[in-house]
Amino acid sequence: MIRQQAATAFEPKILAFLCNWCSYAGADKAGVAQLSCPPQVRTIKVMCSGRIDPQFILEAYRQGADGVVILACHPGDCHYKEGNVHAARRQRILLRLLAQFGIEAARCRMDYVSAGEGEKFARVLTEVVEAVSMLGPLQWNTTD
Amino acid sequence: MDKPKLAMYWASGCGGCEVALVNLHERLLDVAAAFDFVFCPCLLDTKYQDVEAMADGSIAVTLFNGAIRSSENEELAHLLRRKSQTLIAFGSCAKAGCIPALSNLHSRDDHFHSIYRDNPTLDNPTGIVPQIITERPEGTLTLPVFFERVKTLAQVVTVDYLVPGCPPEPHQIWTIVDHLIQGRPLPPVGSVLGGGRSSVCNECDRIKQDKQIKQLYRNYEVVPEAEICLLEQGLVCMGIATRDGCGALCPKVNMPCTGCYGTPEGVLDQGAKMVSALGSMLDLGDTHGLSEAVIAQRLDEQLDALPDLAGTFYKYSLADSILGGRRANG
Amino acid sequence: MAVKNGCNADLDERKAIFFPFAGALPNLPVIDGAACLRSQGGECQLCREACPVEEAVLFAEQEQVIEKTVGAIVVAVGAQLLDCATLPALGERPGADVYTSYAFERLLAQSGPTGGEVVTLRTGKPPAAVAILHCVGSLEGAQCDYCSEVCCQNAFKFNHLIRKKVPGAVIHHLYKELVMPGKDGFALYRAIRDDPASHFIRYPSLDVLRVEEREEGYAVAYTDASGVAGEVTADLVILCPALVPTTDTATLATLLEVQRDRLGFFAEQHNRLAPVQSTVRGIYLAGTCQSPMDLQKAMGQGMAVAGHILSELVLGERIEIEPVTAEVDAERCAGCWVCLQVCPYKAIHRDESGRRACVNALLCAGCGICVAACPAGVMRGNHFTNEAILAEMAGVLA
Repeated sequence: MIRQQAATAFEPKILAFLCNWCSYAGADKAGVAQLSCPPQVRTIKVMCSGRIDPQFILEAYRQGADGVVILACHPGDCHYKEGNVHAARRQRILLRLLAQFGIEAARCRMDYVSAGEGEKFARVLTEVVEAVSMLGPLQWNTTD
Repeated sequence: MDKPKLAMYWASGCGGCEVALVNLHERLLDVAAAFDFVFCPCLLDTKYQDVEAMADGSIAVTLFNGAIRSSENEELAHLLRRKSQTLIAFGSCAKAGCIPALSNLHSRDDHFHSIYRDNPTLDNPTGIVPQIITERPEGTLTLPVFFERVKTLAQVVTVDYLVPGCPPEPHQIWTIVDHLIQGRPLPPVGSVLGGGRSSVCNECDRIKQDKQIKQLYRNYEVVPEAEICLLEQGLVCMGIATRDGCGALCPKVNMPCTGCYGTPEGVLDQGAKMVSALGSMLDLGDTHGLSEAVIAQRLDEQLDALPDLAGTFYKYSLADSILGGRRANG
Repeated sequence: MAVKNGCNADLDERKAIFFPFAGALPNLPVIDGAACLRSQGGECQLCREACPVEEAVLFAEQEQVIEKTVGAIVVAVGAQLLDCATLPALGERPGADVYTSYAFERLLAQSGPTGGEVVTLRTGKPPAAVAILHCVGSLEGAQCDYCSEVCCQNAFKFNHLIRKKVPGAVIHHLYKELVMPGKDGFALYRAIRDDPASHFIRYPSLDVLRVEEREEGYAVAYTDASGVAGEVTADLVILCPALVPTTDTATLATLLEVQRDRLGFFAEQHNRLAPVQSTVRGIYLAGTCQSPMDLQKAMGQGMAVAGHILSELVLGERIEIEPVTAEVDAERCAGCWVCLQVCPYKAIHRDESGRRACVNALLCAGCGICVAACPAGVMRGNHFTNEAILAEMAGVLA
């Protein structure tokens, strides 16, 4: 009940980066299965999670995203062999940097969704929306 | 005919940019011959009122160094913008925030607390902190506003050109000044002057081979080999994500680049690019068959060698970076 | 001149001029340079004298290195059996009636050392009991933690043939796992399982097995999977060693710049979507060089490779490449080589000057890992440029 109230008070903007081969197909699967996915999530498709430049993630926060999700192929299943490995390592280093900017790890989630995991796709996004809703908005406005 | 007027102002800076200008040595005489140096608090006793009294647009070129830390800095930025035909953000502070902008990782309250209240060298039992307005029997005292965040010059006024470097290299300064003296056409407004279009590696002669880092070191921990890429030796050399133009001075003397020339063309954020490149370069050994948790732990062990990522990656460009500083409510 | 015949697992000898194996193509004899007396300065020319065709035996012929430019390369170098000399407790050595599956295969063959007769070296008589040790090296240790896929069917075939040739023989199967998938896999096993002369013992790992030579034959001592110690006696022991990458796989992989997997086999590009493609475009894999597999799978791979090549390399046709590739702004590239390190396809190399990176659009798969990695913003991801992605982000976040 409390969570619902919080959610109505604050609608987070979430940006999800999806790779062409696994997680984007997983999103399709979720759609075909008519699973309910949180409407607060906007998606960007890239060919591979390895294409996700940390600059994009920072830019997303600057442009008003309250959270970012990177969804990649499962380890060992990357269409491009190891793009997901690069994505995962970059995300982990980025989390350290983000902490210095006051940005919580829950606002930069990395997970793996295969083409068949429509249910997981919906679940991860729901979890991120819930977690970021609890954290509240990211504010960049300075007082000057 | 009157000589064109030249001004140089220091906002929140260290004076190193002025020293760099003086490092033109005898060529300074050429500058003096070509320009009428009208305003430079470091060298001349021109007052703010004297500048205000000048006609708008009467200064041909202003080299503005230093970041925008306070309302005084900002006021002078607006004033000099109005008085100058060409306003140049000169040096990393004005261009990207530089060292002063590292304070953007903390709030103004944090700074005042650690500077005026909680510091072992302080003796301030009543906890006095500077006030913008203080009423005294003799009258009202005012201080400039200390901003929440350090800004770049371009974040407060329109800037014509940007010159990177902490400080800009004298040979680059001379190229720009000579250009102005000769009256040659300038590049499009908004261009970076006095820098290259590539990264520091372009000017660094060290042998670059496999960008695989077995272990990260801090500078004091190792004496690197003289001929080999410092990054490949585990030292966080920012050269890969830093604009060239300095002549790779630091790597030439066995010190890793700390990134003072700022983002290369086409790069928005030095820190993000370093995260990305490092993520792909750190050699975690054979990870086949290992669990993600074990791999993450290996990565963490490597990263523990770098206690301050933001300070390392954004030493000169935090104000100009994508996030600009710590979030307001975090 | 006679030397050990490697084709028959050194169980017999061959001449210095010989047919490599029955059915070799081309079906021509070759001269073993190292064994030929002429290579040691001799004047022997018995083979030439024996040959009814004049000038057919050419002593002067030398090994040549032939260079060819090709549009595709097929790697089909196979695998090899785990060297049982590294497992002395299993008793395989020259002169012993302990055979690897390959050696026993030769023993069964018409062209083999005994002409297909199953007899022991010790007595020259057919064995009364045979022990077949499955999973030798397979399913164990980090380097061999996989099933070698062919050994079960191989062992069942041995069982079947031994029983046919030596009707009274008893066969003991010692195994870790029995694997027999597919529509034909189970049939042979069922027949053998239902044969009272076959015995199955499950053992947990190789360190509980010991093959001891006794006066009357061999004893295989074991502790079975439930921890009970036991022993079977046999006149002949067959080891089914794991299929492992050939000794020179690493050298070949380095030469071709293709990746190997964690076990040392040639790595396929994708285990389901691209199982016959190596990690480099234009280099294909067929057979056990990629993974242990049976003949049917190897044939299927070979055909798939042929199909891929024939449909890609059509004379007079251009090769279609994906437009999604990376491209270097050569004017600005500083040659830091971060991209070189991250490309999974070896598609990035140093240009002629050695100072700039250069992308081979034929090899580039367009993943964009290098675009994200390039610290100087010099690598462009065509069709997924930074500008496009940032504009898309601005759109959805507005």
